[in-house]
Amino acid sequence: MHENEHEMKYSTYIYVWLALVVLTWVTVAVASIDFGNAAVFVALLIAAFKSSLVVAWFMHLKNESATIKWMVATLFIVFAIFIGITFTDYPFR
Amino acid sequence: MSNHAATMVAHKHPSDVEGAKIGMWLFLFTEVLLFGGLFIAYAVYRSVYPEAFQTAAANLDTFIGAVNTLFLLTSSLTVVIAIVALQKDKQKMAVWMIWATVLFALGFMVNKYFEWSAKIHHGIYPGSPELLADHSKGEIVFYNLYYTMTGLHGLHVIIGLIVFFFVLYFIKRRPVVTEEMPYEILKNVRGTSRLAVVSEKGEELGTVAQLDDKVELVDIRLTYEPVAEKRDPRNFVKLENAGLYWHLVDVIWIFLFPLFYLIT
Repeated sequence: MHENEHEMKYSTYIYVWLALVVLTWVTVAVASIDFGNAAVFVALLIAAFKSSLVVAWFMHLKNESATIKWMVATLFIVFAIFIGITFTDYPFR
Repeated sequence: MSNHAATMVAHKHPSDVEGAKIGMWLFLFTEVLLFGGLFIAYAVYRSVYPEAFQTAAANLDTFIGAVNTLFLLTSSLTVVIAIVALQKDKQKMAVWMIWATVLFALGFMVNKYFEWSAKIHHGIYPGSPELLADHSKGEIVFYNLYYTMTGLHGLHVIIGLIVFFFVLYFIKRRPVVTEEMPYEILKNVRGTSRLAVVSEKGEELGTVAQLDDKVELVDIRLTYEPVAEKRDPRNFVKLENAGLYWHLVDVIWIFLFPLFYLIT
């Protein structure tokens, strides 16, 4: 067996999948409620939560080394800066 | 003998699981930024044309979008189950789960095909005269983004399919090893006397028993079914990395689905 492998169980992943399916249903159900401008925010919040489940469990990020975790964190910071720069610039043109 | 051969393979090709994974993550980062740029473009245009985006999004089929979301989520589950199965050395299970993944991916593409052809049939595609004449600027931008982003995503699904076929090949492959063996030993191994021997130039030299004692070393080619502990450990990281790619494709869809289908 390999050094950074962890004991894996089928059932854990089935639970994560169930949570993802339920959250998909929630996204669809919630879409018919009129949140006004907050609708995008609610949809993105659920999508972000679903993604974090996929990244943490399915992509095993939670079991990875600190190196990989920091790399992913750096990516998020870089992407946040891109978004920040865009939206501090674009609306004022 | 096959055990010995398998050990040799493992030694000849040391694997660096961590390094391979880091390489894959770095590649995934470029993918995130590729799609990220498009998501930012979507956000900017949505802030410019909020009503048009809502009108246009209402015309997309939420049901197909939801079914496709379930297909991708389930295919992510089957990949991860394949990884666990391979780790538990359940090769057959792993192979079946990869096939299941391929099936869901194909299902996704079939749905996409029907979805796109219905839209194209109604004259909604980038640059179509009907789209340009009958729709507002914002709706045109929405549909252009829709085709670009789901198109690029669909391309990734197809690439993922191809990657899984490679992984299947590697898992199912029977390793072949060439080993040197002194003739003295080989001729005394039971069952080898009638094996054909070929020279380096490809000439047939007869059977092992017919060789004369001037022969010192013989290369033997072994095709073997590796025992559980000796299977090529690199298959595991190949499947793991293919899985990482596949999950990223899933994550991108998790965002595409609400942004294009649900915000009406």
